Amino acid sequence: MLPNEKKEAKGAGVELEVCLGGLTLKNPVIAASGTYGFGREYEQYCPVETWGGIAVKGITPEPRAGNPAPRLTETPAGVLNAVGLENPGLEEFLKSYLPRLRNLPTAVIVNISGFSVEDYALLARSLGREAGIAALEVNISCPNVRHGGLQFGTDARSAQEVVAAVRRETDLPVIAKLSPNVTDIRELARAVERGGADIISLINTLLGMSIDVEQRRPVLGNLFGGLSGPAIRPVAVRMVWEVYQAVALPIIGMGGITGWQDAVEFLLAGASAVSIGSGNFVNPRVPLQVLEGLEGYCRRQGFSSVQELTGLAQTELARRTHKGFARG
Amino acid sequence: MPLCYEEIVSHGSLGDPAEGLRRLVLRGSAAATARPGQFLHVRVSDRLEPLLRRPLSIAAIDRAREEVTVLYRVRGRGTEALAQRQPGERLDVLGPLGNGFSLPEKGELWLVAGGIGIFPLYALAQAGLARGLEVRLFWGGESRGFLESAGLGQWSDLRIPLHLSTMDGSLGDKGAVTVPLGGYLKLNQTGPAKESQAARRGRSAEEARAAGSRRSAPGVEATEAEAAGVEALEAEVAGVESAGGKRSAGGCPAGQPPRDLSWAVCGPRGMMQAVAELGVARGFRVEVSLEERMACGVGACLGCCVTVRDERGRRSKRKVCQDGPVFPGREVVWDVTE
Ligand SMILES: Cc1cc2nc3c(=O)[nH]c(=O)nc-3n(C[C@H](O)[C@H](O)[C@H](O)COP(=O)(O)OP(=O)(O)OC[C@H]3O[C@@H](n4cnc5c(N)ncnc54)[C@H](O)[C@@H]3O)c2cc1C
Ligand SMILES: Cc1cc2nc3c(=O)[nH]c(=O)nc-3n(C[C@H](O)[C@H](O)[C@H](O)COP(=O)(O)O)c2cc1C
Ligand code: FES
Repeated sequence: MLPNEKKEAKGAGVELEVCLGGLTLKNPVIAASGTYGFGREYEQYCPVETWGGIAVKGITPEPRAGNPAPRLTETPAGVLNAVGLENPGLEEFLKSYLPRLRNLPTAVIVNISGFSVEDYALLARSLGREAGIAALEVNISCPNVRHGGLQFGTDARSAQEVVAAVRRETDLPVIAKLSPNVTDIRELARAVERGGADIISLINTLLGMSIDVEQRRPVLGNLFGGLSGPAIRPVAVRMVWEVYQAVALPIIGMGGITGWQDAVEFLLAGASAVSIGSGNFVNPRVPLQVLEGLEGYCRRQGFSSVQELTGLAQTELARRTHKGFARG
Repeated sequence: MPLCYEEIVSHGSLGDPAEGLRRLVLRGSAAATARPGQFLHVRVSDRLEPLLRRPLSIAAIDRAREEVTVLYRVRGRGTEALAQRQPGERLDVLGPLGNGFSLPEKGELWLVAGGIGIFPLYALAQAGLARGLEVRLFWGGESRGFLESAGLGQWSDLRIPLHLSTMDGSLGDKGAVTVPLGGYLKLNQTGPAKESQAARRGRSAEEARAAGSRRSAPGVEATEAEAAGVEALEAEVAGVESAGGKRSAGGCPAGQPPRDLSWAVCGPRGMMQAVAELGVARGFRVEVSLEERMACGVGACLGCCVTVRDERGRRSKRKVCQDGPVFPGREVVWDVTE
């Protein structure tokens, strides 16, 4: 059935709920890890229940002080950051943050980071026992200290190993968050699928650098930083498209979303939900506007549920080109 | 609601347009709760380039008219875009944000500014005077032209003692603000003068009037009386050699910190460090307003963190946007390498 045949959906309420494997969200818009603190900071600007879910700042087993200033700089339509995973550590997170987080009227996703496979396993074991966590998001864009600092996320074998270690320790839905700093994102997607991930989220930030020409030195204290914001959106959409073709797992797409059209773009490319990171910095009410726009789009186009949008640009392209198309 | 659309009441050059300074007056809800030292996180345009909001301090607060004033220097693409905005337009603003300066209950308040670090101190001076504090300003800038553009006239109108310096020596002491500040501290040992504030105010008021009238009529040659007034101002700002020497006779004994002396400091990092070290060593209450690059402005991204230490020397991170921008001078770790 073609979308424009679904006349009966017009005017009716649009179903915003989405199911991603074992993770059900009341709507497909999630706050991206590291840009939304611990759910409290934006409270006065936009109610937290607006979000389908929130991914909290990445947690490591031990507290981390992060990188020296400056940690941020702005690039054309983008943000370059080198926060360096500053976080209170697992123990403090459980004691001072989780009790409040678990009572929030939205799905709470805990983002975890480590420097060894054991770090990830420990975090998963401990967090897996806690109530009020909807899913774990495994940030594999971290240097693996055992392997000379090479990122887990740029090596398929390490990525699979980390995800498998987390999988063994918890029954919570496991989201593997992919790094875009690779030659073939499909290879990493297949690796985390083999490792037992339930969901894939992408993209994390693109490694970048900025140099102050007057002072002739790198702007960031850490030299390199992660690029986010509208500048990276085309890269992110392309990678979602590729991953949708490569694996059967549901996808959370992100990278530069600042409006509803951007969110729709990710859904059409193959995402089942989207995350918004840097967009919050620009406009704290961005989730409200995205949801409103998404609903309006579905209504205008005759969709009764946002879930119908997932991968539609791919299936329609396949139909138009008369090519057989199968996922997975 | 701290996310608001403030109406631009007026917007234009501050002083000589060549200095690139601007004055922006906004009407809306920010004025109701704004405190000196807080800032607004301003979306400079509706476009995605420049992307991030820009933090700008609240320079003056007029609750009755529901207005706040922001003074800024055009530096790069963000402030350039902001400079294009016209009166009548609405500006997307988060704030007031941050903690602001603490206003002492009584005693003396010394304001110490470097360059455009003067901007957030004006609202504090007004609040301090309204509370009956003895307020005194130390201010260093590039040149006489800069100081005059950046609001020297308004400061003179406050009728408080002004201690000025310029890098080129065109007004006040030659050098950074630490020159007049250090000179005044030395003359008065560690303590403030006992000469009554009223007497000082009376004198500086006349000087200010003279300076003001000369400034308000550029191109018109100053009368002899006015010129004498300006000279008197320059004498005072040049390190209180004449009057200051006399005053110090009544100052506190060496080594004994005066009661109720607070410093509020804003300017370039190196200047704040030097000033904070001077004040902290003497046991004064010193507050500094730190600057860091910001993304969210509300404590969510950890982009603006600085290192502080507690009394036991233990280090930790604080967010300039949420825990600051004002911090006790003794807590700041100035040289951070890791
Ligand atoms: C709490 C706070 C209050 C401030 N109050 C004022 C104020 O009242 N008036 C005023 O003129 N300025 C103020 N600033 C500084 C102001 O935010 C920056 O000058 C402005 O963001 C520069 O933006 P831009 O796009 O014009 O320049 P950019 O093109 O972004 O940069 C131009 C230059 O400014 C530097 N820069 C950029 N952002 C910052 C920053 N946040 N802090 C320090 N340097 C920066 C860059 O390194 C670069 O050299 C304040 C900053 C903070 C953190
Ligand atoms: C300041 C900042 C901090 C971030 N911290 C984390 C983190 O702790 N863990 C993580 O998985 N991703 C982190 N990210 C990446 C974002 O979650 C997101 O993947 C990326 O920014 C792209 O989305 P955006 O363009 O909408 O910001 C961070 C991004 C920014 C800008
Ligand atoms: S600017 Fe985001 S935490 Fe301060």
